[in-house]
Amino acid sequence: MDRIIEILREIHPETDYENETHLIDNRIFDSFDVVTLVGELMDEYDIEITAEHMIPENFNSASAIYALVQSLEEE
Amino acid sequence: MRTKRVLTVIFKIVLIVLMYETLTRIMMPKYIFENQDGRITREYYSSAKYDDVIFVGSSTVFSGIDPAILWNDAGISSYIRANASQPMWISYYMVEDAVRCHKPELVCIDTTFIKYEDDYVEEPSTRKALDGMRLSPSKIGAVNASMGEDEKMIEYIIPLFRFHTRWKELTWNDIRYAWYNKKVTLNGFIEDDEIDPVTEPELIYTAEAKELGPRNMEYLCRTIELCQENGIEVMVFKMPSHSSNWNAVYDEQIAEAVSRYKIDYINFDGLNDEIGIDYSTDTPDAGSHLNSSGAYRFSAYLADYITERFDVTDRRNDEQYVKYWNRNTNSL
Amino acid sequence: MSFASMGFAFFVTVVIVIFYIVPAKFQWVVLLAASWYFYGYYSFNDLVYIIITTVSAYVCAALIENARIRQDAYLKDNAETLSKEDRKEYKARTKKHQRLFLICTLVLNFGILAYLKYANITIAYINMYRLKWFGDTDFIPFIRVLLPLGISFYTFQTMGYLIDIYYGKYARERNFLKFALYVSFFPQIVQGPISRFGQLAPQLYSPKKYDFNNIRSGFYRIMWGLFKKLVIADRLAGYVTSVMSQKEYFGGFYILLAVFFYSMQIYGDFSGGIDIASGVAEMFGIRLTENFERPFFSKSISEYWQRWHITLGTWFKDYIFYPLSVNKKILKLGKRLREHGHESLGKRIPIYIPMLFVWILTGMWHGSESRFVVWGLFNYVFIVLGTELEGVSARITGRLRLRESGTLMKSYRAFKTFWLMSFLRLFDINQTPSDAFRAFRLIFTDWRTFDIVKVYEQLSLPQEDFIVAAAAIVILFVFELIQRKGSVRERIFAMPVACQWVILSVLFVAVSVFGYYGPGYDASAFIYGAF
Repeated sequence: MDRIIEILREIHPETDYENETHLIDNRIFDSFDVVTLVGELMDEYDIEITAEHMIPENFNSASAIYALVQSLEEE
Repeated sequence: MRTKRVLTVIFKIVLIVLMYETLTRIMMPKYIFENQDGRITREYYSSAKYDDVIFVGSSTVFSGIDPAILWNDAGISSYIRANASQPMWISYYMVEDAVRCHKPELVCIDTTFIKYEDDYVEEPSTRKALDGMRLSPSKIGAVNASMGEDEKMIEYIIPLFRFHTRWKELTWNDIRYAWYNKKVTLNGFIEDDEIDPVTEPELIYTAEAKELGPRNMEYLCRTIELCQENGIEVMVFKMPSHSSNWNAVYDEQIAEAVSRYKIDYINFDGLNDEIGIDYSTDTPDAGSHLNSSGAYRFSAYLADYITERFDVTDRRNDEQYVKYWNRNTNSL
Repeated sequence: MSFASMGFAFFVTVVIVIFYIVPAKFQWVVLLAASWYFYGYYSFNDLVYIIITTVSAYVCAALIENARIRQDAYLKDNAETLSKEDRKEYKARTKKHQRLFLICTLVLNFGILAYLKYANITIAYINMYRLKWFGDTDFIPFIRVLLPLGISFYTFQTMGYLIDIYYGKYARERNFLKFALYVSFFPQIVQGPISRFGQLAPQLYSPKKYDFNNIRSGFYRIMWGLFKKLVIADRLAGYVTSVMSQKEYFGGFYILLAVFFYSMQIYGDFSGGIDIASGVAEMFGIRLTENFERPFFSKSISEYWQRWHITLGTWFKDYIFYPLSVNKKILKLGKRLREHGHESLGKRIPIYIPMLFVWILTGMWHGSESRFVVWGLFNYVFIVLGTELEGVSARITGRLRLRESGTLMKSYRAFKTFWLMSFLRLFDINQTPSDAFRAFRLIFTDWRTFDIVKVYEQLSLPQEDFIVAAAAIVILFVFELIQRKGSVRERIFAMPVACQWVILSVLFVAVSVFGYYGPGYDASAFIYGAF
């Protein structure tokens, strides 16, 4: 989880990731940021994120992203 | 509590209607200082209950018959429901509308315009004739019968949609006279003082010898039938004029059509020796219409003509009518 | 039946009355009947296309979901006997079937759309080149001309649903008629918004209680939409076409004004139409997704595209951009670039390549001619440049000691974005890309004097109309300034009743009197002539 927040901070340092739950809906992350993030996650955790995971609900908060990574790591 | 709510709703509805009506009246052309013929239909309703005789026809009627003279000479109380280039179908609905408002004793149908084509459409004239008409089945029928292809019924029911672009030319008078309800015509008569004498003293008809449009003829017959069903006498005539735009075969066709209803048809062109119209002074446009002096002569003649042939009550001893006619003649 | 017609007003009134009279569980049936009536009234023959889309999507969704159900049941029943590899293989096989169903349906539906939209232009190009190269005058005949009403919108909306079903995002709608309503809901069929199933469908099917607030609120929104459409957009249309048809004759300033007016026209027309659609939906207690969020206040082109025709942008983002950005080939390319020391380029490639596809497709979506693709590519280039030059621009602002969040910088950026997007619309109002470039050049080279009288007298914008248009644009601007701080309607509803009446009356007068519609009034025609 801490590692994920670290990655997120690299993209947007100023955001309060512990409490923000609408990263996408509030347009803090635009599509550019999302794709950058996905690239980082895939490198970092060696997981495969595919088109069906690319929905706002998976990227709206640090914990959602963490949950996504965990579920993908299990496979 | 409940009453209060109902009252609020009623109040709101009244307010909406009032605001809408004011807006419409401001936007519509006024026809007060010019084109007064646009007020003929609107002004009918305020005096409908006194009118025993109704004239329908085209502009020749409203410029050539003065109801005040009919009143003075014979006690005939009449109203002119004629409009510029009014085709037979509008005349029919004018009569239908009149019959519903107040049943007249006599309806006089002028046929000057019957020679026009069955698909004749002239939006401004239709507008002037029908915008003043109260909303009724007759109005809907009249609009349906006379609309052009690109016109819409809704623009007649909500005239604001037709005249809204007048915002560009609104003047102070449009607001000042928005609710103006006094008469500017004398029971549909519009006086014309111009003189433009005829150049050719002999009247020779030059119009094409054709069969009159079946639609025009149909509406003429329907008008007669409507009157007869309601026990109203009918007179079918052609206004006197010195216009060559006519043909004797029209007279024959009309005469034949109305004879089925046991009605005589009269073209007053042929009676000028008796009427005594002087076309060197009595016309504003070289013979097509009558001016005020022509109207004076013809109306005097017509008063006798009607009295002799039809059963129209002489109202000169009826106090109500006397008051009404005093108001009419004084208001102008 | 246009949105701005009494016929439509009457239709909506009747539907609303019926909608709130019938038992709540039949309300959605009323909407379906109304939607099909609306569509059939508009173009009866085109019903066949929307029915094909509805049926094919319904069947495909069923096949995909049934495959999943079968898979889950199989895996559950044989939980003990299957190895992990077996499970994976079985899942992959199901996925393959599902993908086949999906692709067939997508090809069918987008095929119909592409055929109807691009066949004629393709034929035209073929004919042109055959004539040019071979002198061949044996032309291929064109197909029917008119596109079925709203086909781009309902195809996108329905295919989005299918893709979501494929990803397992929703359970499919099992009732065919309910599903048909989702495809054809009449307020949004003409020009969107392109709704998402999860957002729209539950609202369509749930029972609604009559609430005067919905009617009132919807009515205000409709009136505001009519204002934008009738008072602004339709009034300016004549000017824009006139100038563009005689560019050389009028010259730079007039074209510049046309560029500005066209932005107002298209915004008024499109967002006004959306306001009417949303207002109508609101009267049924249904909230449509917002399609515009004051786009002319955007501070960059990419922000602009998140605020203009939002539902199209998110559609492309979710169904084209994201899937492509996690495409293995593109990811691999990015990785290789990074391994070879191109760190930042390697990060951007997975973004820029999918974006290129998105913009070509967005261009094609807007029109079949080549100029729309050029338009899309320009948008793409500007967005890429905007991203690449972010550092430079930040340094310049820093040097000038300007605050990025200050009013001055914000206004400057909004101004710049507005004009960039407006100039790009030259591709929209000119017939060919070269015409558009010519118009653009004229703006900067042809500085003949500007004579406002010429606008009044030769360009279908008489002085009075010019003033009304200008005033209306100012009103629109002020309205949107206020709107930044929250819903304007809620503010109005919080006012005393008398104020509300005044506002509504003014709005009504503005639309009915100053609206640009119907036959003009020619006073001279009303003068009593011969008969």
